[in-house]
Amino acid sequence: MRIIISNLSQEPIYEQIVKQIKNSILKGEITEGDSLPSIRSLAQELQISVITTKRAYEELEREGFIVTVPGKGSYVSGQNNGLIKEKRIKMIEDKLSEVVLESKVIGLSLSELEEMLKLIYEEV
Amino acid sequence: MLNLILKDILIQKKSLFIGFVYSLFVFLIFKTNTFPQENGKFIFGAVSIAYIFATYSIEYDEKNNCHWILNSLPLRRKEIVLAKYISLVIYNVIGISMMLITGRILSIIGFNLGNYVVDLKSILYVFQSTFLAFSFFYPIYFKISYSKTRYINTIVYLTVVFLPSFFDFLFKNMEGISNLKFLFEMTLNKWDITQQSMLLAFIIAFTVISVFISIRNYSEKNF
Amino acid sequence: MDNIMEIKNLCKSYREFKLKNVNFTLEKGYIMGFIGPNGAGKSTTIKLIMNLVKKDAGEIKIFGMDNLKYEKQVKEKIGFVYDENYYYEELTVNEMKRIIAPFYKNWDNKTFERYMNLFDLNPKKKIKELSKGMKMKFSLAVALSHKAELIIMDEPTSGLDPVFRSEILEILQSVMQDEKMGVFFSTHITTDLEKIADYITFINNGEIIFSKPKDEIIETYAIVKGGRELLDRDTRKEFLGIRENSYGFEALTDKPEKMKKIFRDNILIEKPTLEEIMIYTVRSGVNA
Repeated sequence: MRIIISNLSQEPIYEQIVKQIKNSILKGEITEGDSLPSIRSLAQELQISVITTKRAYEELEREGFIVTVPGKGSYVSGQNNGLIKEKRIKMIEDKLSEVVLESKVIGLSLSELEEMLKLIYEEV
Repeated sequence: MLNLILKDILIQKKSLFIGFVYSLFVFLIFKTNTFPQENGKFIFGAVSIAYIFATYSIEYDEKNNCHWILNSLPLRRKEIVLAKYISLVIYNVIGISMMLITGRILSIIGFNLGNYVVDLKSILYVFQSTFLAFSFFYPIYFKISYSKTRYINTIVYLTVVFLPSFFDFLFKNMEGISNLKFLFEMTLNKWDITQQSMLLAFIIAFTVISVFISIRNYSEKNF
Repeated sequence: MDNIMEIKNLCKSYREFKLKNVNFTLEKGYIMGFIGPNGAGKSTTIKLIMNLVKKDAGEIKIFGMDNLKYEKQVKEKIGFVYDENYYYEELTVNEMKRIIAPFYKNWDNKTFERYMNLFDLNPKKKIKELSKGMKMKFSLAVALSHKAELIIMDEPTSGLDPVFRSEILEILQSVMQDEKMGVFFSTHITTDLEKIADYITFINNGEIIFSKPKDEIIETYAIVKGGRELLDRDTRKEFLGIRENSYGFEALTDKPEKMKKIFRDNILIEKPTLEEIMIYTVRSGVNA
């Protein structure tokens, strides 16, 4: 797992941590049941405040990515892959509806849009 | 508390050397009749050495600003004050021992130190002088910073040490007060149990009062 | 009992300086930075906690105990590091340790030896021969060797070079792996705290300006930058402190959202550093 903190970024440090741990989970670098470093040791390693790491873990827990067993530590949670996928699909749907809306404004037809999507899908 | 007393000794290993040199100096420089008391040199030397130790202990504390450290340690201020009084007993013992040892060594080498016997009265005299002086000085010291009180310390010491000589000088040079002179010589040199007990009782009472005032003063001090 | 230090309505008056109603608490397991300009009352507060000066009013509780009533018990569990050396200069490191150690019931010589090695301290050296940084390390070694649960440091890093300072901070963080500990750390070098402090208590002119989690502070405040034409009587009032030059202005605000609404795209909003928060706040106090 890789976590890099930028002090110059406008993004709060706890969000940077949340994002990077999420990515590690999504990429499968850490999987269900793997233990995460303790809040205090992560704070020490990254030379940041304990409160910041604590907040990051709480956020991850709230979103269902990790579970914390009091006195034992935090682990990557079980059902998250399905959960994450579902969330991501929802996000894609949202973005697509935005695209559709925008297309309708300039009068783009469905088939034109499909064509465009196809092209981009193959390119990326 | 024992630690505090030990600390006072540990930080002034140097004073042991100074005390020794001083004891030599007293024996070799002063004449036997410099002081009006019998054993005058011995008493003067022992009191001075005790004074050197007590003063150095204060100066070391002061120089290093050790009140900060001492008062940050798990100690009550009361203990810091009491330790200073108890250390004084030890300084007296050191002063007396040094004078005894140096005197003995000098006698063995062959110096003529005159006719002197260290008796209980002389030893009491040493304790009484130092406790009188420091019971007067400590309450002031624990109230105000040392830099402002060091002169008081010196004056008190000189007074205690030289007052007898001063009176002696006075009586020798003035006619018509022979009654007083008689009293004075008796106080200094005769062993009168009632008189001694009274003097001792007075100095103990004075010390006890002094301890209480010192504790109160030090407890209210801001660093 | 999760608060290792609780200070309530603490007051102390000197002839020319007043500590006014100081309040803050430190939970165990955290590092609190105590910041403020010189003469703001940092040292006075620490002296009051350590009972080096007498308070006029208020309450100080350490581990839930009154700091005067349970002075001895409280001090057993406090490790202190002051900005200057107050040890006996003539003694060697080892002699000084021999004097200090017996005062603590829980003195642990093994821990002390470990830190001596870690800090590369020579036990035979006289204290006066140590550099400022080494004296600091010696104090820290003493503070960490009697199972203290609260470390109080008064300007420990002032006058030390950056390498030394970061080393000290690393040690503090490693000590914090033990969740029972708390660290209270006064400094005017705020960059030291930018990284590791969990809470920041800011004192200015004898008054606490805030005592909050550092993240919250950084998120509450913002630096606003923009052209001078944006400043007028009304907009000036919105800022906590303004610095102007010929080409524009920089200001501190605690309402970044409101600023965005007022000025829209005409301004730049940046994350503040603790130093900026301190400087602008102190300056606005001077102007007012």
